[in-house]
Amino acid sequence: MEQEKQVTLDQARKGSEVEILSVPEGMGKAQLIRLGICEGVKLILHEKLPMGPVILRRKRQEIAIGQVLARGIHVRQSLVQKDGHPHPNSFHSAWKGFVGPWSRRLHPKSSGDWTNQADGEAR
Amino acid sequence: MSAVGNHKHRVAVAVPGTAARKVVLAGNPNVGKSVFFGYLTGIYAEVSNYPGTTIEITSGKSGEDMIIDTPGIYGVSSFNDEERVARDIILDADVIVNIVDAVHLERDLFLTLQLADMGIPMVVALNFMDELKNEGMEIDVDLLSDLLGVPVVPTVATKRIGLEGLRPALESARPGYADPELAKQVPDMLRTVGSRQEAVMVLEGDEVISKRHGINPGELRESIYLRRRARVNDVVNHVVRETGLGRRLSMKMGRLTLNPWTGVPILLVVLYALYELVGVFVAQTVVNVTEKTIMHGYWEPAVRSMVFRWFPAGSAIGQILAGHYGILTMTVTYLFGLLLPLVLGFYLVLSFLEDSGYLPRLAALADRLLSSIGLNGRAVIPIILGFGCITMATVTTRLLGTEREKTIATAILNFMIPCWPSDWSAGLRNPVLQGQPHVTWPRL
Repeated sequence: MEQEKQVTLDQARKGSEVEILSVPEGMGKAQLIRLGICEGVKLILHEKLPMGPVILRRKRQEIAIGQVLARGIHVRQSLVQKDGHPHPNSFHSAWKGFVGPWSRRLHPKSSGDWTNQADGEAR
Repeated sequence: MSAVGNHKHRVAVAVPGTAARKVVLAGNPNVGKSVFFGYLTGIYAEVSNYPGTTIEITSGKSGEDMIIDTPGIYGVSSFNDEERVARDIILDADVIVNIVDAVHLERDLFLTLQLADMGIPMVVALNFMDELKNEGMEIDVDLLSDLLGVPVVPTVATKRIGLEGLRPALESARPGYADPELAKQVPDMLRTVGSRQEAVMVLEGDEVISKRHGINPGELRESIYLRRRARVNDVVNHVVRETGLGRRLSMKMGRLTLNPWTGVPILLVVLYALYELVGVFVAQTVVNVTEKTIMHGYWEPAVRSMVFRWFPAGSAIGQILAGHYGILTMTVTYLFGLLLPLVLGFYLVLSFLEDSGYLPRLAALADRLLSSIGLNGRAVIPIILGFGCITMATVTTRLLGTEREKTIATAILNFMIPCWPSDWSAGLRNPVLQGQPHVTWPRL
């Protein structure tokens, strides 16, 4: 099941797909639009460095956003993984990722609704 | 210098002869503009600093044309020094060669469409075509040319593939298709501003161009940029086909270098290797040979014996030319014996870091630590190199984007990390240190 919640970019989880909801006004916004980051765009939060920049990925482009700017960008986060497995940031979700395929084999009708938007975007 | 047009406040580029056409190479950073410049102009190139900045402009001749290389930019505006310099050169261009990275079309086409909106005759050179297969992509070049409205020349510049198509394409350069909404607003602005390029800049809210004409900057930047971004996405969706056969190793390597658990150890290894290679081997071992063995051992004695044959050793001219601080002795020794190996070594390493794609990852990893002292992640390179040689480390501060960062980094290097050349020269530069006890810092 896909979960969504609204957070600031620095609070979003690594590996999740984020949809940009708002960007702080100013020169930074213009530069972000140039690089393809504007309201409505979906990107993958590729990496989060501790107290450091947030790395966003869109197709083959990786963009590092400083922490201060990331705190001002509001996003809608969905817990989507490229390979369809649940987000590995929690033991519970990692366990589900391990058990899930076996569960689907035993009970084909109970397969999850994991979407594969990131992979679809690459297509 | 010859003024161009009626806009006397703009700095013009000298053009020999009134018939010469100004061909400007424009594109994002690291797309290969310099390779195109070398191909078009041959060996000779004139390098000069843009007034008021340390940004270099390279210009050279190609037949009757003047070829001008610009700093890498993501758009034409006044956001930073590179863009301010490139903006003025682009505004004066007769023809633009817009070099685009085929693998990163969605990023690079923003500048292309902005140049099209400005109405400057243009040719697009689609570079890195050999990388497309590795990335699992295909581009319909003909369709791209139709959608942009300008000739598109596919190239692999480093292998000289496709470059022969550039000169014929220049003859059919034309303005690209502009944003229809923006095109409606340009005629009104033209009455005040006088050129389409500057009219577009004013409408986009460029404060510098607006101030030159004594009018308020427009407030349409965001809407113009959003429409332009939407057009870029539309063009890319039409011309790019993903084959799904791309190389995944580079992606995995990229992830390893960014993930803090693997990236930090990799960073430490790279920095240590950088220090050992450049800071120790080049700055000390190689420089010892070039400066002491070759220059002090052979060059200076040879120069002195020649000069003192004509001028006495104790005379003023003799000392000026070949004395301890002579023009032909110390100056040449320091240029070729000290600085040349340092600069070559640094640029070799920097090219490797940039071409491998590791430099931005290094900057991202080190950013948090260095931002607390007003620097960005790239400053880790001059600081690490400073433990080997401050002279070279000071040269490497050119990596940094702003004057403020360069000043902070240079100050850190000079007052916190001395090495033997600066121990000697600090006495000349800083009178406070003259007569002070010699202080050395333990080397890592």
